[in-house]
Amino acid sequence: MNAGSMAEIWVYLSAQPLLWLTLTLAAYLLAVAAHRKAGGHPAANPVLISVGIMVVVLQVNETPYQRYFDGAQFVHFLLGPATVALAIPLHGQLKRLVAMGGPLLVALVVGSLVAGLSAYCIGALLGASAPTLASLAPKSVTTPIAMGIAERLGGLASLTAVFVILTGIFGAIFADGLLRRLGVKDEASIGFALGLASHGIGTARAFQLSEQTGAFAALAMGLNGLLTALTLPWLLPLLAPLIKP
Amino acid sequence: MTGVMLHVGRLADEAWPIAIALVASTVLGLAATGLTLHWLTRRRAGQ
Repeated sequence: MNAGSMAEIWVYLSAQPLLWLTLTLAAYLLAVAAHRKAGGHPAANPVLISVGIMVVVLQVNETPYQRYFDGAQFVHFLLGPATVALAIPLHGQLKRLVAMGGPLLVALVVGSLVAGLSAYCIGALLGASAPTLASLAPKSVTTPIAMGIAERLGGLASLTAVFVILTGIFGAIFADGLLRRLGVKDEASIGFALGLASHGIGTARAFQLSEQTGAFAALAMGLNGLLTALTLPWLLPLLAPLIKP
Repeated sequence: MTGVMLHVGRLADEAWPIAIALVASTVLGLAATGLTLHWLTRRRAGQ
């Protein structure tokens, strides 16, 4: 088969919507295999690897993002049912979650405020602009909620999506090691911290550790989305004097 | 990916504040949540 016929096949395939869905799933399967080959090391994060593969594929083929998304949007659609399905492991841990209600609530409030306000304050002290700060503050929340919060705060929703993904990948890679070094070794605390600070990507990492860790992460992700949406819009204006004119 | 393409200039201009704020606040968020829950559950178990 010569290069000309290969190019013709590629032109035909790239016009088929299922191509991008198939390539996305293949990239993820490849990333999961790499993760297993690396002995489950957090640095071999399947999300990071599969995103990297797809960026290279799209860049090499000069495929516009919209065309890719049109083909791969079934994966996007599955995000909703996957989030609802998190209720299953939560239900399995219901007794323990109820028994730990008080500590979980305190940890939620502390973690949510620290994650949001510290991003804003550190960025402000280092001279970041107002739209960047408003886009940074909700970076620990799951993407759809974070984008809504950022728009309400005067930030840039698409920039927030970038910060959310980076935060998730960073947390998924380093959280387990960091928390264990701090002496936090119980599954509930590690899971809750992962879900709160690193949303869905952290929750996926938590499920790799154990189902119980994943259940606490799923709970933290949901509750932090709600709490951040309620608190950030009225807390951030109080910190506005920190921003350089 | 769309966000990176749309805001590449801003990301380049404010790279350091963004990188430091993202990393530091994620570490702080993880540590604050994990340590608080760990401490409270241990305290409760000890009572």
